[in-house]
Amino acid sequence: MSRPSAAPMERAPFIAPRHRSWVIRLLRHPTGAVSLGVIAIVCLAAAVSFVWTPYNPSSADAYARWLAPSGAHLLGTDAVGRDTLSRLMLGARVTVVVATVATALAAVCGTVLAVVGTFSYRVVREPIAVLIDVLIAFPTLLIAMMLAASFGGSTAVVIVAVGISNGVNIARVLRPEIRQVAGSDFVRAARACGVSKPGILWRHILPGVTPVFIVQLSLTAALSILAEAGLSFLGFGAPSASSSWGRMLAETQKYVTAYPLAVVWPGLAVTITVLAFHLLGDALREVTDPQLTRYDGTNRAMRQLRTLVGPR
Amino acid sequence: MSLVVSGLSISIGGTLVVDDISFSVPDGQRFGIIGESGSGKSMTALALLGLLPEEALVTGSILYQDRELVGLRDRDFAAVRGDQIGIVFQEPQTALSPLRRLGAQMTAALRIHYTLSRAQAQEAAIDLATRVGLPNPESIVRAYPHQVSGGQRQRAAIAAAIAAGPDLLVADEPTTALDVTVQAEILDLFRRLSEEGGTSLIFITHDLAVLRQIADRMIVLDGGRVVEQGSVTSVLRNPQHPSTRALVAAAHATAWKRPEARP
Repeated sequence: MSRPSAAPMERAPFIAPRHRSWVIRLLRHPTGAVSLGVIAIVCLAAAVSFVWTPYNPSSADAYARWLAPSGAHLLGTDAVGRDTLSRLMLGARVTVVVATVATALAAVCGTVLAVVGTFSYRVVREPIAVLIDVLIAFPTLLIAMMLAASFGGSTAVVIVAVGISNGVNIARVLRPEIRQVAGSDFVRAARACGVSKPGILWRHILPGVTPVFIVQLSLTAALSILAEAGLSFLGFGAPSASSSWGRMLAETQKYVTAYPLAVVWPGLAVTITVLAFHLLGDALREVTDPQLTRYDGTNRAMRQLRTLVGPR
Repeated sequence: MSLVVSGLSISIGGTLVVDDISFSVPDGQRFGIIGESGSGKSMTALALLGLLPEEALVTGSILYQDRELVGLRDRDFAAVRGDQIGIVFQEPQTALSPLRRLGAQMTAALRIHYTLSRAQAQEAAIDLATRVGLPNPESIVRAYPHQVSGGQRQRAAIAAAIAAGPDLLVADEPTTALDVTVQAEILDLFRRLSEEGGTSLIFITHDLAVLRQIADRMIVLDGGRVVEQGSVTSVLRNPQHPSTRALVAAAHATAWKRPEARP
């Protein structure tokens, strides 16, 4: 009865992998760290703008119009002599608020639509599929302009428009992913262990789609910043009194041939922030997917980098 | 009688995949179901756990410990799954979630059917890993499935199935995806588990050579019907139905004269 065969039968001893949390792996990831740094700077600028800016961002100075970058005005001044750096910092507030709120809205919208659209009764499921397909056909900017036309242009309208249209997009991407995970063997095995349907959703399906979800969220953040800038540029977004990067572009673009630098700064701010969110998405996907990660917490991108740079 | 299946039929989308099959498995017995692909053996296994696709139509009766399982609501069935009946599937590659540590997956059934503290769950995971013969139990419970071998994954899947101590274990082709030496070890493990715990075992396979090493009694399925039944030795000695003969011939042709054939 008690045979000694309870002893290990497979020869290769198992060496416990050193497992780092994905936060640490993200910080060690080259593009992850850089993009996170850029986003942190934007957030910090927005936060600091509440207590301090180099100059009052809304005070005009007729004697300081179109100043070139200098020690006094690091990024120069605009047509009415306002300090560009101060206005950029103020604009960062709008960017941060739009990126977080619109992305959160899109995340909730997208997840609910995708989950209900996959697991609900047929009479609910199929209309949702149709709704997703129909809403996909309308570009974000068009929806935002329609909303702005009927409710007046404001940052809130931009957030709702961008949040909902990106939420639908997330749902469209997530639905086949969810269906695939739901049909996998390990979900069946977990069901066989007695895990309830909500338990399966929470423990297996949502974690299973997280890598895709995270990439979509960072894309959404990037797109919402871009959409906000675009709508403000066109005059649908932030009211003219407030300062947003899109507005700054709109105000300076008339003078692009005379004072190109004044256009470059807000343009650069938008571009770099959007790029940072895109790169953050890629980095997050790599560090949250255990199949892309080795025991030591390095991942493919880092190993490739090391083969290029050589051992340190 | 622990499990009594009588007149079980399953149809999916109008196709009859299991046609009026009956068998019974007394407590502690190791029972074999054999048949070619598409003979309905996996569907039978899924029916025992109420895991058939929603569009499947099940008639007949599955009595387990005098409780009728056919027509049970999914929520009630969840209380049976893992706790009273466990199942091991064919593919160790995909039967474990790539995102959760082996320890967490092995103790899933325990944590659902009983209340365990974190430390107790950890202890149970190590204990289970030891029972199914996983090397270095303390560290392997912290590993992810892709970090261990196929045989080790199948051991972990078996551990997950037996975690809450079910009285009936269904094994749906658990050795098919493994190579022959690992196969022998896993069979050994199943035999040991059923002997130690007095667990009944329903072993599903298409390989007579495997079945012969593990089961006492068996049924042969063909096209969703039971074509032959009896003790493994008598069926093997005197196969009546052509499909049984074909399976015997196939077994002879391949691994029949394996040296470690039954002790």
